[in-house]
Amino acid sequence: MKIAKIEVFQAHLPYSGGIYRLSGGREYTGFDASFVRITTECGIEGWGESTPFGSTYIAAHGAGARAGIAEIAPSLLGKDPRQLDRINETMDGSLKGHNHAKTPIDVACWDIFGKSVEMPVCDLLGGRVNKPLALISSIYAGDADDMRARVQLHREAGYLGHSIKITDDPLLNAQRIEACLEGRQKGEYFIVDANGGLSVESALRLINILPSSFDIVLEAPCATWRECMSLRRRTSMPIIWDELAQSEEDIINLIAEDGADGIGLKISKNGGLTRCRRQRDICIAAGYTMSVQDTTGSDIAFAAIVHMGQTVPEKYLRCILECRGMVSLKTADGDYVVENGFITAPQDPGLGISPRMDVLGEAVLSYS
Amino acid sequence: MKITELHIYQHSLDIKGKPYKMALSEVDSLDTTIVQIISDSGISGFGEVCPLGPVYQEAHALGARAALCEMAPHLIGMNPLHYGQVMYKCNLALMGHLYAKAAIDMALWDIIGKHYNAPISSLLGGAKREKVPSYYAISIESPDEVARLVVDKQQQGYERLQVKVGGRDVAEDIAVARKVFEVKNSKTSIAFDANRGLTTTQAIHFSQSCRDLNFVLEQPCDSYEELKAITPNICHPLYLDESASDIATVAKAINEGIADGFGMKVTRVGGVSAMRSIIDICHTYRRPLSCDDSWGGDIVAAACVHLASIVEPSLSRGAWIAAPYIDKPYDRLNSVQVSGGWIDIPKGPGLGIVPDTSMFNLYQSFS
Repeated sequence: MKIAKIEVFQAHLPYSGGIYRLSGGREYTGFDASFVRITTECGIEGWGESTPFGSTYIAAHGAGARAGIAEIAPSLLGKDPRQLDRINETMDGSLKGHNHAKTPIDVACWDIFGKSVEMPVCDLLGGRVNKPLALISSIYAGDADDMRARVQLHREAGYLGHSIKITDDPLLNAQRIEACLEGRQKGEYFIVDANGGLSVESALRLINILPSSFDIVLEAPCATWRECMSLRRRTSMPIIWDELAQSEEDIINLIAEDGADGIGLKISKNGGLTRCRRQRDICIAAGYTMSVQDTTGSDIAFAAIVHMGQTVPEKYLRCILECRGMVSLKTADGDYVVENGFITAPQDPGLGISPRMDVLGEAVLSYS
Repeated sequence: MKITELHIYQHSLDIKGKPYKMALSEVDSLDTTIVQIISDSGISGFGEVCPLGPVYQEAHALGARAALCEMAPHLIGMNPLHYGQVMYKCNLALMGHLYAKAAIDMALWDIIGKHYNAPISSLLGGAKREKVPSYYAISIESPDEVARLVVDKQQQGYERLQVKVGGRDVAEDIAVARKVFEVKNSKTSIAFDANRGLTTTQAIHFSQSCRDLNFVLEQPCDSYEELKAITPNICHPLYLDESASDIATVAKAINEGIADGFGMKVTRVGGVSAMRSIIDICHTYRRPLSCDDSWGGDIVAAACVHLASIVEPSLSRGAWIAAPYIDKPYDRLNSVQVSGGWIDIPKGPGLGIVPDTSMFNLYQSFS
């Protein structure tokens, strides 16, 4: 089987909640999404998506994803899409780094692989865990009362996980956390996500004024490795890493230095399903928990999240991100039905999605 | 003063002579990107970024232009003299991508220099000498060919030679090292640069096998962690290059005792401003460094040379520029060239280069 054609499509995904606010004054109203369609000589099509969370969440942006794909695509023509490790080596030989550009290609190849053997992607990634996946909300930073209301809305929809975004003021952050934890139900899981926006000082001040009875996990407290390590040594609060854990190497170093208790495994940030599979296994070996997510994205990105999430043993999985809820454009259809806050990967071959071509329009780049 | 226009140009720098070969890649033409920032005072400044292909480090030409297009619209109307504010705005527009930001930073310094009618080196504390030493990088070759080039370059006046190794049987790299020391004269200092191409085992073996030879080992392995792992087991001083990716990593590498010196690349770390901080750090901790770039024409070369000129001569490991591999200079009058192993510092204000933009292909404009 050989790759005959690689096409790139682009869409603007409006943020469904108006303005999304992150620490450091970062605001997003929509996202620049890139989609890859790979077609084999025998006519099988595979799809993948890369949607960076704006251009200031990590060192990734939509135009850069497409520039990276343009750099990589010609080297993949004629290659066997089912040989995923070889595909990734070819990509690494064409461009160093740039996970967000490699991800949609990698995911599209998994989609083709699945279709070619009539198996869902999750079963090729190690096999499905027979438990539905709990969803996690994404509660952007705002007024404490407003955040409490948004947690409540998600709770009513059956969500067990909540990712509460904070900024840098310790008192305001403490109020937000307290508000969000109000009315907590059994089985709920709360991440307090600073997106690297805290100094060690403001993180310690926040931790010191929180009641010790609060059961929360602190995610991505500071921007740099040094700051996160410094904080780690001075708190008993569980810490998970996200933006600073982008590769197998990062995660190995993190484990070696005992820097965290888990990670946010984001498909495009972490380099696609092939790399996420390795990272998943490294995390399990270390006893790390993981939340399977993506930077953001629409239906195709969500499909990859669900298939990866479905392979993580329950003990290690801390929810998956329903990224579709963050954007107001539907780009594909498939058997991805959320029931009372839970979802199960479809049984259809590949990712099990049919892209909406009327939404994706004409290809902006094409290689054959 | 206000930024009124920003132009992004593309230009191909064909390599004169044989392709340039390193452990992990070979190149015969480089895709460079030039930024021109025009202000309402009529002064315009130039910056440049030219990744050494897409796998040398995490940078590529298409990505540089995509990043510049992401940032450019935010800069129109800002005061180019306030380079700190402009670079802060760049950080708000795009995270990372220091190599693309470097081209903007360089163009701002060029404008500032022209505005105050001073060369960039004068604004950075003043050149400590009128010319700086360059060094010659000998690409992957057989032991005999390397030896021939060593003799040749010594005669031309080079006092520092960098020899590329890696990507082949280590026995051949060791043979190259032995041969080099047979022909080198006592004045010549040698660095063996593997450009990330050795495994930790190979790097240790190479160093141990050449224990009696006095050279510097530059970026033998891929990652910072690998370099950290080999430091107790190698016999030679270790210089970081590709792994010294930003100011924080330079500070960490000194603090952790990994780096005995640095091969610094101006665009990789974010431009003139970042390099000035790194030079200050290296002065403080007495770590030698070179001021280079992965590749580039006269604009990048001028930035490297201005920066190299402010380094204390005892800590300077010179400036490497791509000029010997390039046929057509951007500025025939003021082109930055190596002569007898040394490079004159451009005398004009700013970078001291007046590029002929008609050579370049206009990629995109913002106003």
